[in-house]
Amino acid sequence: MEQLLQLLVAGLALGARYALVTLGFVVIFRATGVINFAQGSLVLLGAYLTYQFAGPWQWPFLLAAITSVIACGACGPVIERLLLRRMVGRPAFAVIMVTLGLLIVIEQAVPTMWGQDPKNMGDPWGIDTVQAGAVTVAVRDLWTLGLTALAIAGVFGFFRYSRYGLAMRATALDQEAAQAQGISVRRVVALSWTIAGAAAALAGITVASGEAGVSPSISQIALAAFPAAILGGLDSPYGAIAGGLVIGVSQTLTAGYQPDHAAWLGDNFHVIMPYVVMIAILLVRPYGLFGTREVERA
Amino acid sequence: MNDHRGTTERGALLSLDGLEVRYGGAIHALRGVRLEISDGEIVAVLGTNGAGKTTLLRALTGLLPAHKGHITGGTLTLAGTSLLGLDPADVVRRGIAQVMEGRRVFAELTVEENLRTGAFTRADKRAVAADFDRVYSLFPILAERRRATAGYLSGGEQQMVAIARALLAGPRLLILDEPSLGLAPAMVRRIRDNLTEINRQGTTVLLVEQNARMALSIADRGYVLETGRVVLDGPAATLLADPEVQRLYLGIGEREGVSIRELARQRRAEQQGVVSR
Repeated sequence: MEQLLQLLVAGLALGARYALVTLGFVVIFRATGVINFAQGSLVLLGAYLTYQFAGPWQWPFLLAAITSVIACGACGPVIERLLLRRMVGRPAFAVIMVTLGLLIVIEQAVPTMWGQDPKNMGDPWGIDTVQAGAVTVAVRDLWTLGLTALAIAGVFGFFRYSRYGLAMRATALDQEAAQAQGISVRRVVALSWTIAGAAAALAGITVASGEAGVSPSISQIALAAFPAAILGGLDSPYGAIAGGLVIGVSQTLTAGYQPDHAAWLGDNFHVIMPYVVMIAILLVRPYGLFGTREVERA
Repeated sequence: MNDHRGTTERGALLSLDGLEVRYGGAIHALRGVRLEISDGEIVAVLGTNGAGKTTLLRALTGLLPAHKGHITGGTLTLAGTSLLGLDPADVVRRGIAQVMEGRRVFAELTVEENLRTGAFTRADKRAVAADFDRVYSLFPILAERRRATAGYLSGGEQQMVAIARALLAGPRLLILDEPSLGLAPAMVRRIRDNLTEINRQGTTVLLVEQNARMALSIADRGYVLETGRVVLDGPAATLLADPEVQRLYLGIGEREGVSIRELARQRRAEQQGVVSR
């Protein structure tokens, strides 16, 4: 029982990190129809910038983290402006290859600048744990859950109540009709990339905090978050959160129980678990958990 | 009273002259279109599929580039200032709002959210609130269903959402593309009455329709568009009484499928007639 609770908390925290990355996939997909694989590169950048600010430059950790989130939020629209806007109207395949290419470039550039060895990001909670009864929880997981909940509530509140949030939802439904209302699709797209960039940076910071450390391999979280986006429904922000949590929990439970109960599956089965879950859910619900069945009068 | 001389004296709200539109450099969609709308008028534009009606509206509202279309000649002014090269948001801010063909409501948003998108360009909260009251009194059913998801409304109610959304932009000129399309006759009559009321409250209306009878029943004047050209224009009553309009757009008589230009050519041989180009 204690083990289950412990795994659930860790799984939700992992799922929250996925959810942040997934939210970025979904927000950009809704605005532009592009699946942005470069998301992983902003995860990486977010963690390394925080390390740079808090480590070598000795800034307070909170300031370093916030600055890094803002910087990555600003990077998003720059990438869109320099690369993706030139690809408007090109085949989806070509656009996806551009984002993949960008991911590979940044994945190589980061270790060139900062080296291959893992860094300590300088977060104040480090490897601390807290005891609740017999359950041991990593402090970094609690921070991850809190910060993610805050960020996601902020984004959803923005969608629901703000003028530009409404514009983003309208644009996702019918771009030309949105334009006809005087909504600037360009601004909506830029805003989507900002949100995705900032969310990716926060994901990177939460992944790299604690004992994990900052290393080039953390961009791989985007690979596991991609099936989360698909199984949640690529056009649904709610699906992004649900998909992220489902993947995170199932992956952690697999890592916790599978070696004892199904050892024949091998040592690293949890690594492919996101894809197993994705395939299983897509077989039952082809548009994902929350994907669009179009709203139409019967 | 609504003849050409009258309109120019009152000064045109919207004025097009020699307007040329091409798509992708190849298709010549509008050829030298001349059209004027005075403040306070209802003007109908009639034409069959492919006559250029929707292209005309795209040209007015800045949506041509999204369809790889370009204005390649002529002038287009609203209250004396050119609209050429403006993007859709600028056009809305200048006072032109449109109801697109097929309604195009945001299906997953509520009625009220749909209406809020219409007011996207406006910062004057008090005036927007007043316009909300105005459209809700014009369409009481929308006030009742303001929290309903727009996609689940009936076709007629969705058309009301589309019209109300356009009105929330606070337009001087309201443009409607085929508002009667796909609606039951009773609903067409209601929409027609709504448009008369909207016009009475001071909004100029440009009504593009295949349903000529509906359009001409409320319009002051009308234009007939054929393969990108204005082939006929005049007061609504004159158009309604015009034998060719009756044959081609009102289904009276038997010579369907013959174009007005063809008929005009035949008739010119006999005598001078209605204005035709």
